[in-house]
Amino acid sequence: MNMQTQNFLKTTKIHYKGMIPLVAYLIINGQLETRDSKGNIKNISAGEMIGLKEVWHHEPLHFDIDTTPGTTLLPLDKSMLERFKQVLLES
Amino acid sequence: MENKNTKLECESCVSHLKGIFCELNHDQLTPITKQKITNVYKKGQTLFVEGNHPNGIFCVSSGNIKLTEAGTDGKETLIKVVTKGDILGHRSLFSEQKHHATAVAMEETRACFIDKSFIINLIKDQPSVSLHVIEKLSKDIGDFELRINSMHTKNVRERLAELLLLLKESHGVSEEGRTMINLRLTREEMSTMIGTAPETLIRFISEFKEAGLIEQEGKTIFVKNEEKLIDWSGCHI
Repeated sequence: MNMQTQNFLKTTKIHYKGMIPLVAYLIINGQLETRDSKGNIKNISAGEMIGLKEVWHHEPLHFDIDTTPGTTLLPLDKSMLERFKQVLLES
Repeated sequence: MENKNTKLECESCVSHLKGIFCELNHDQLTPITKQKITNVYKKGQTLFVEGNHPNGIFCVSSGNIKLTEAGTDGKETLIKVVTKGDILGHRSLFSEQKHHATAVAMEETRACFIDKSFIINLIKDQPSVSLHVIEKLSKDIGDFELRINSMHTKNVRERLAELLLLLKESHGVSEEGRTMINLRLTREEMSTMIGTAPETLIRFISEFKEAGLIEQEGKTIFVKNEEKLIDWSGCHI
């Protein structure tokens, strides 16, 4: 299983509201900023995850997600999540 | 209300017969349909950003996506326009390279995302998929070689004629006695594709129109005389 972190040196939009996230993210460093359709902003900090349930069930996330400069993320795609499930079932 | 992101069955996708999964049967396509994530991107929305690590491939089902590269001066160069049946991110399947370009939807575009581990396993199981990926990679290399050669050996008039022929091939729609290039590119975008200034491009477009090679209605270009365009491009197809 090839896991690789991603560094974002500047603010980058990684998700548009209403879309199904392509991967879930574990925040390693820095933080993410979410913005819903009413303009409410929420920060997601290091150690938290986002998009896990939505990737698993192919459901949309109803807010935009932007990285803040200096953020490091670990993307987790559906194949990885399935592998985790398999390992947990085997253990 | 219809959910635009509803999963599209690979088998019923309009681009199925053009894509890398064209030789797979119903049973082989079902796991892909189950795994992939389908989204509809509005005009201007980004699929991936230059410099980021790719997480998988995108299979374009409808619409057009432009690939742009930012120069050191911040100016964007339009490298390619991909359309239905094309895939994006396949280069990263066999390398650890980051995205060399940014992909932006030029209109409402439906694209399916398949993660890297899944597609790698599929390639191992289905040789026809790997052959089609190799075919795409080979075509990409051929296109880039042609482009580099054109930039070095052809003048702007020849490069513009060649670009119009390529766009006609990829996005052309035939209508009474002419072919509409079904792509609304700005003059700035077109000029970066042939490595010239927008003013120079506009001058040559006027020359092409006067010579009866093309017609223009708003931003839409129609190819009127392909034979002459081939002649002007310096290509001997």
